[in-house]
Amino acid sequence: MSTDVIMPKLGESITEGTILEWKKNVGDSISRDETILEISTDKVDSEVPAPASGILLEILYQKNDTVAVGEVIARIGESGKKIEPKEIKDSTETNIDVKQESVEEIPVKEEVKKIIQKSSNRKFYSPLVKSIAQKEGLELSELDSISGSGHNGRVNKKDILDYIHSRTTSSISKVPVTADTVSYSLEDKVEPMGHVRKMIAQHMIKSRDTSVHVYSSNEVDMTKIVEFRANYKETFKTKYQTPLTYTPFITDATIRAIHEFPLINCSIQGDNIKHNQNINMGVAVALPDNNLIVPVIKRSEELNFLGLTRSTADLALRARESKLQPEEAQGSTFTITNPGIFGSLFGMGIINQPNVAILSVGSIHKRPVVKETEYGDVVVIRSMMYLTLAYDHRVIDGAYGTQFLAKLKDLLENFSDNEVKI
Amino acid sequence: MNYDYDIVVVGGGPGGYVAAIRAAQLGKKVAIIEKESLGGVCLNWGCIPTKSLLKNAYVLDLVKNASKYGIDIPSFTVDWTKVVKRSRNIAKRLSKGIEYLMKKNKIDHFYGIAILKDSNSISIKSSDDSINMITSDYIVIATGTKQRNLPNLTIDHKQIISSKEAMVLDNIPKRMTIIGAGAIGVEFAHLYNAFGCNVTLVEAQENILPNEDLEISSELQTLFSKRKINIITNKLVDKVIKNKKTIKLHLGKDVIETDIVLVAVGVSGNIFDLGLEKLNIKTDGNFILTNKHMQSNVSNIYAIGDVSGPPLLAHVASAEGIEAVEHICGIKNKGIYYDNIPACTYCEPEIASVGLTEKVAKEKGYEIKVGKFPFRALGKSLADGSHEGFVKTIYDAKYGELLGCHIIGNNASNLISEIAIARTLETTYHEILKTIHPHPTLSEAIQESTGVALDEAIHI
Repeated sequence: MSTDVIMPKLGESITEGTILEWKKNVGDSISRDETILEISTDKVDSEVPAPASGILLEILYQKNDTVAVGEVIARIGESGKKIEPKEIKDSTETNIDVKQESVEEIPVKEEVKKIIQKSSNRKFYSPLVKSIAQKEGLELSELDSISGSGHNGRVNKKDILDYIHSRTTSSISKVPVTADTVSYSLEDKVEPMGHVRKMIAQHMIKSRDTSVHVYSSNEVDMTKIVEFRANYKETFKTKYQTPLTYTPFITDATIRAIHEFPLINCSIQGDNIKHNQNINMGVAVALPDNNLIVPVIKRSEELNFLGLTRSTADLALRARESKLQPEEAQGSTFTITNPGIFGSLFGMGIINQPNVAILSVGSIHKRPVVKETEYGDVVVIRSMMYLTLAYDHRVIDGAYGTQFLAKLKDLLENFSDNEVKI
Repeated sequence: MNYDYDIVVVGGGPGGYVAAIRAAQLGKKVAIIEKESLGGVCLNWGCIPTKSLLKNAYVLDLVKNASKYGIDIPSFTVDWTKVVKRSRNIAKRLSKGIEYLMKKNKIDHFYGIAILKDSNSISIKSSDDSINMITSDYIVIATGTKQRNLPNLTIDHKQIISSKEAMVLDNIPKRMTIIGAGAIGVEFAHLYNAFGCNVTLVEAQENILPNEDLEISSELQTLFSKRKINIITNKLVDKVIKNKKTIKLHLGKDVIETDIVLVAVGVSGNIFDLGLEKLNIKTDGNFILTNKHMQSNVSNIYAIGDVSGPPLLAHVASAEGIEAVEHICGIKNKGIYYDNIPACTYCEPEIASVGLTEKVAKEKGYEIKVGKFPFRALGKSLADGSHEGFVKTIYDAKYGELLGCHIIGNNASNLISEIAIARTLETTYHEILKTIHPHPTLSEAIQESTGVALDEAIHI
């Protein structure tokens, strides 16, 4: 059996798409949902995920071909099985198909390859480390999370064996540790950091040692948004089965502000500044075990308000249930953290590497504020919130950082009902 | 406090001179103290001059067997004096080369005997008895080892000799008995056998080359026996009777009459008369104790090479010298990794190995896959006219790790580096098997032996 890959319909009015790039070649093994090609329409560029796992048997259209929506553009076959004769008849590339079969005969390597292809930051793993990872059933995210003691941080045999050893021991000690955090008691004791804690610690130190943190703060009048939310939260919940929180309002405004101040969304690579086409929005989520994870809304600029709301809720929920796919917590270009949830007036964030800025959202409080009116200055009660931007002075100077923050304040304060369709 | 030098290295062997050069590269003010010739035992009385002598043995063998290659050499003579002279000239030339390297790197070198007066001062006694005092922030001890004596076989430099005398004998003895079948003993056994001497090789342990994989030792034992080298293992010399021209050795019931006895039973570190005791530098047996950065218990004093204990190999000494100096200079390394050091023995055929032997791998609890491939199945070996020996590779069955490789055969010493680098890169059998090896070469045997381990070998 083989599965057809068809040109997807990427929007209401779209009838055809152009192939930008094949990410896979004939003979490559593919897992379901892995990107196999990139296409472009008159509106957006998009990655096409594989509809099934298997081997890429045929590519029917080449780069730069424009193909009608619904047309078959490639075929994926089951690994190890032969393509059906009927299909071979249609294809002139019978010889190539035969070759693919022989490629398939080392199943061990295929799985390892899968692990490596998924790797986002393309770390090097020695054959032995890959072999151990496969035999011990290590996920790629776990492999990526091991800190290597080899040259340039390379993970070597000892590192992975130590990791596997500590994983076995820490899973035994997991239960009492969690119990401790629930029924908190004071006592003298020393216990090893859990794996996640260790990773967080390393990331924090790395960030402090990498970025030159500088902070700017602004107060934002959130009254309009507070009122809007109060009016619509029931309707929203009923209609979309998801709660209406403040986060998507802030995310949405941040995305708009970044469009005007794109440097906020860059990263530093050596002496180069890497500009990012997409805004992959990291949203820090506190976990029940006192740890922290930053799931990422990929291409957040392509989402409307509802899309942002759903993505945030979905990622946060699955983060708390430890059900995130590794790539869902990778690749952020900017991060928002919300210490305001716990009542803090403002936070001073540590930049989530390799981002160059992090926005800390304070709590929303009603406060007396002086407003200028045509009748003179008046004291009014408004819902106020502090936003603090930590940014990397290596690439962003005070003027740029504070202007970005001012834009953000402006967007939030002048929030218009039209922006959110309910 | 200002010292004359940043680093003073005591001993100019392959550990010491390499350490000195590395220190100079790193911008340190360096001095080196040597009591004889720069280059140490390795260059003057070890690795290099013996390789020269062994080359002569190879040429002699080639001439003797020239008719096999269709070249008749009706008569030839061996000029032993020239053989020895060639070896000495090479040693001298290399030592001069080291002197040049010292100059080039602006390293002061002192000839004399060094004694540590305190942890920062060294006195140097020259051959004319004049004494120089120098001070240094750091001291690297690289004094090497000296030949060990057996209680009943005291070296008299005439009838009972060490390897040093064996390199410069006036003529080829009729009968030679070699006590100790480690690398040195085995190399001299091959050398003198090749030059027509009647050689007996005695080893106290069960096998010659007792540190090598058992199959390697047995293969060499078979090949040596074919060449009429008399091998006695598992026996100690109980009694020695010296006559004017001959010596009788009693080994249990066996009695060997011989003209000359070469003692090659190991070495002990040169740790005495250095002033170490006063500084309370910790030693173990006759070696200086160090951490993995070669630092002794006195923090500014380092010890490298043979004097810091086994493995007693020139290439290890050099690596340790670099490690010590880089540690002094604040370069953070992980220290020396001793589990991946290749070792070579230059008898005919050569022996080279790295990693675990089959026995040790099993003792460590590995479930293993072993492959063995004979050179006689390789076209290149047959064309070369030397097809003795084999390659043995040992893999961990669980993860596929390349645990060790043992080679006996022509050019083994040049083949083993592939395995050392593969192990550093944490290779599994798959990469060795799937890396295309050039044809025709001897290295194909490594790939094929891996194939044997996986039941995928082609030529056997």
